[in-house]
Amino acid sequence: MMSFVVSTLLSLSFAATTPVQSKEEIKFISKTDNKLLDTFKTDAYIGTIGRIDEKAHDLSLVDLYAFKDNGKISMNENLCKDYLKQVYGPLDKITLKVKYITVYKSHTGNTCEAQADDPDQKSSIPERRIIIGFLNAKPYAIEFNLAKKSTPDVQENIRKFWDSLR
Amino acid sequence: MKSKLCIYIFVGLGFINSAFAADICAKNGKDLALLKDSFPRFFQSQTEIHFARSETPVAYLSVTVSPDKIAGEAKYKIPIFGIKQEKGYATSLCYNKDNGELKIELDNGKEFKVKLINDNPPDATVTIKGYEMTRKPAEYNKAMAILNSTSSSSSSSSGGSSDNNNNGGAQ
Repeated sequence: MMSFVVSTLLSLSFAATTPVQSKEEIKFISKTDNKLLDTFKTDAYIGTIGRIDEKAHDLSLVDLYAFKDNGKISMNENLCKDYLKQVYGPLDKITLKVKYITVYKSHTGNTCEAQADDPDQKSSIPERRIIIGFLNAKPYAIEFNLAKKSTPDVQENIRKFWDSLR
Repeated sequence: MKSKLCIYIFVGLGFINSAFAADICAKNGKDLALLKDSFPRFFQSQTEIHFARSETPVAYLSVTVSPDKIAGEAKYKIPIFGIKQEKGYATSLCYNKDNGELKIELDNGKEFKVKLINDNPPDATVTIKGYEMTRKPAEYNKAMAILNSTSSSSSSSSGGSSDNNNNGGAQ
């Protein structure tokens, strides 16, 4: 009985620290749990989600960003660029090449997807893929750091993960 | 009158001195090559500088210097999920010899500081966010063994093979 109470309390406290929920089994590692994690990240980065059942290593770690609520709840390309700037810096000045910014309809409404390529041919992360949208009316982004250029299957996997978020 | 002038000169020199003690900055490898004597010794003869820590949080950090770019890379060991990799491009690398602080400004607007603890080859040691990272060969190899063994089971392991040969000490 006591162990049930303790485990319930523990799971509740874990849930409280997880900013988003997923239909998949996930674990969240906050940047406050490992202070080195955000060394290269902007302030919008809040932590990394681990997808328990995902076999591909690239797709099993997802960086999570939360943006300040500016009252806007409908995604469009300009708003997407604002959020991309909060993740990557000024898009016309940075080394990464952000491209293919598209707005599509997901389960949460208008959602933005983009790709950031590293021009360094030997880069360990040649491509980053990001999806930005609203979860519970709050703006979030999920970002995947890929060790190889993405295939249509990988891109689909990423969109499916966004669709699993609540 | 003369003593007042002396005081003014003395104070003025103090200001000039403190101005010169400010950060020395390099935007790329070309700048760094010109200013190398003003930067820590581990920058002086290398284009890729590695640091690592073998205690939790196990991590690896490298700075790669090319003529037109300075890039930083990191690997972290995350419980359950293995290795997480990061990469960022710097717009400037500034060093303050007086307080031993390296300031790395990334092109995404983020800035992080590296505090120099020991600049003696091959034992150079720094702290990042309070965590000690080192080039001490034994510690470095221990950390790389942990990181490489974890990443060898994942599909994205890369970029670590040359690190084991580095031994962290070549200056």
